[in-house]
Amino acid sequence: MNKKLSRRQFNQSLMQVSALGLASSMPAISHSRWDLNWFNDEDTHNERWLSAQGREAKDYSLGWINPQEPSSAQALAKFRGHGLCQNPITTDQVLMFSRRPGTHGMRLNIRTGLIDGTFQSQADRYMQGHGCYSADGKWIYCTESSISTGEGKITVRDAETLEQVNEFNSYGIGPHEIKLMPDGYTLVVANGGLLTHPDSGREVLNLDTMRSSLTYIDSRTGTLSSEHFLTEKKASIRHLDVAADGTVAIALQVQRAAMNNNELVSLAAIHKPNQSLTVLNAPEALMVKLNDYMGSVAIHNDTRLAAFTSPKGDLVMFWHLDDLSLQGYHVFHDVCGLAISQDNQYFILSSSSGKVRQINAYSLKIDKERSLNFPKKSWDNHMISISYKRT
Amino acid sequence: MTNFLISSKYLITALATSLLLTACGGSSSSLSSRDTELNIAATEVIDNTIIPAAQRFREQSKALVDQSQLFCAASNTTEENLMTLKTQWITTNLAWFELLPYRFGPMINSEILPTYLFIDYHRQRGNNATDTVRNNIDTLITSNTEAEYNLTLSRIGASGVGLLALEVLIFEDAENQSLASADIIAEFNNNSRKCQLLLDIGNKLLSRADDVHQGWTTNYRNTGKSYRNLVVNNQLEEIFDDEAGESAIKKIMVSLQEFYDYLAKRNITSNVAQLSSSTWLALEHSLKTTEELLNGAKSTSISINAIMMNNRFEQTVENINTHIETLRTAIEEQNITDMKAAAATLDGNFKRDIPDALNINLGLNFSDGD
Repeated sequence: MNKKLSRRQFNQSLMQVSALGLASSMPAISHSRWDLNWFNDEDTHNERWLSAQGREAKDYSLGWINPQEPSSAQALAKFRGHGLCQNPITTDQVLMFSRRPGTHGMRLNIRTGLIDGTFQSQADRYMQGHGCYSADGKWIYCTESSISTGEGKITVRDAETLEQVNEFNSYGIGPHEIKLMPDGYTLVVANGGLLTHPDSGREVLNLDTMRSSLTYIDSRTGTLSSEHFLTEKKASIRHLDVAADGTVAIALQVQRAAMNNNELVSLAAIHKPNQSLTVLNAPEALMVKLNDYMGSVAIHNDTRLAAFTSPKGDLVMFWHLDDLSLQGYHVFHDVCGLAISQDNQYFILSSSSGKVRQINAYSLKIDKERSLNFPKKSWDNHMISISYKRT
Repeated sequence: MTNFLISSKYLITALATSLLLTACGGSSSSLSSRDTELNIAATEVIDNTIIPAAQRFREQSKALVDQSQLFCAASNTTEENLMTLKTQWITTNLAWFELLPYRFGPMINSEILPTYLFIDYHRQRGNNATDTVRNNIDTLITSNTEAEYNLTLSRIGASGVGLLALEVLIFEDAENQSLASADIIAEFNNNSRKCQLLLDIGNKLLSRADDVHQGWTTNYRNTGKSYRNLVVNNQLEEIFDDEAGESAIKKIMVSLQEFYDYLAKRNITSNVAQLSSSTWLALEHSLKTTEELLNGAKSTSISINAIMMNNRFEQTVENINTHIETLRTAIEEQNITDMKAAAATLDGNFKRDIPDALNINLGLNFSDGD
């Protein structure tokens, strides 16, 4: 039953949580009013923007923004998070996965603002940073790696208990972002091709032999449906998004140290069913500015535009998925987080200085009236936009 | 020896500068004392180091055009005048290397066709455009008609102009790429197009130098406002849709970091200022401007080093001084390996150590993505 908590009731609930030794999962309101409007179940706009956040270990948390107020809040994580995903059925559940080479994940109930579950990699496994739910919301697929062999793995967890129940190959090394295709059962995986080991942190151990791939895997059987490679072997496929028609936009990072030339490499590409990978081009000066690094990608289905962010180039770039033309770009320092607003009107951009900007998806102009600043927040690499149902 | 302690003179100057910023339309009243201090330091870097460097480059570019006109005047194509012209090119290039580390704002103007590209094509990603320049010169000086010459000139992109094109025109003859003064002079005497081209390319350089200087001082991107005031008063994002509104100190730090990354990764010593044999001298000038950035100029009241010292990061300052000395030694000895290694170390200093010591964040995603 839905009910609106009074401030007293809410404070009492916090005290109970604290008494249970779960103080770390309390929502820490940092930029919002204490009137708890963000917590109001009668709120008709249940849109939230979520991101790993925090600059230092003591601050690492899952942070979120209520864009209507606007306000922000957070739940401490005790690990540096990276990718997030929302349960498509139980829509108040959101997962955050460890940044590589972490081993922890957590589930947040966005309605209560409390962490209601955690999970950990099994022995000989560590996380690669991303995961997604199955279409029925019952399973979680997470990109991980074998410590002993370096093989990429997709672990399968029960979405309710968070227990690992299965595992299959990612058919590559260093799987990073993973998403579900519109058919509801095929997983598309960005195998970055970069071999790392927890003992050596984030150092890439196979620069000479690296081979990145985009793999499609049947989640029902764990079998490989198809795999695709880029011409440039030192381009690492790291992030992706999937359009409603199954077009996949991929963001790349070039391992320049492994190259013996300084030729420009496209950092954005798309893949359409039954076609080969196609790179997206831009004027030389813009491509140079990207510094071999794209950090995130999001597709706006109505306009068929894919946005790509480059924090090392302070740029967001927009390409059309069909004619492959560059439609525009926007300068924003340290931009990385990227999502589509729930009203489908805006690309949402975030930076680690706590800034949030909104670019109209149709005009590609910034709407300065909608800019938000949360100086005490440090939005990490990825942001997702969700709306959740009242239960 | 620079005194790093904040004196009462500094406090008075800081207050005055703060009032000055407010009078200029700034919002210093809303800044914390830390931000105010950093903004003062950044403003002084702009006023005492960057703008004077932009002014010197503009003046030297003008002098290069003047010397070119003098050299090309009737009966003036003498060896002595050619030497003067060569010396002026080197002086202009040295002024450029004092400005080059500050590659933001008026040095950019347009993300797609940045201003600096038309001055120094190599800076973009280390491509050696000498062959392109030579081909362009060959085509232009052999143009049969004025119309053909003008059409070709109008089609030349950034890789065919700037300091490199002028160096090739002044330091070798187009026919045989001879470095002998007699051959160069003979070509100028025998082909009037070469003088025409020297002046045209020179004036294009001067125009870009003007853009950079005016952008810093009077009119940035047709706003009628100086970039100096826009950036120190944090008005860039308010005025432009396509500018990142970060603080001046962050822009300066990122720019320096990028410059040392450039020195470390690109082959400057084998690609830049080769005909004039002045690369190492140019690097000395860049190092000089870096030292001034950190230590402050004569009129600086609060330097970057002073702030780091006051923040109790004495060791960081000491380490950076050591790294600068290492780079200086490598430059003096013309040791490419050591120069690149020292530049890479300074790249790291500007990326992490100096921001930490100043208590500023250049960006988590910028420095630590996945």
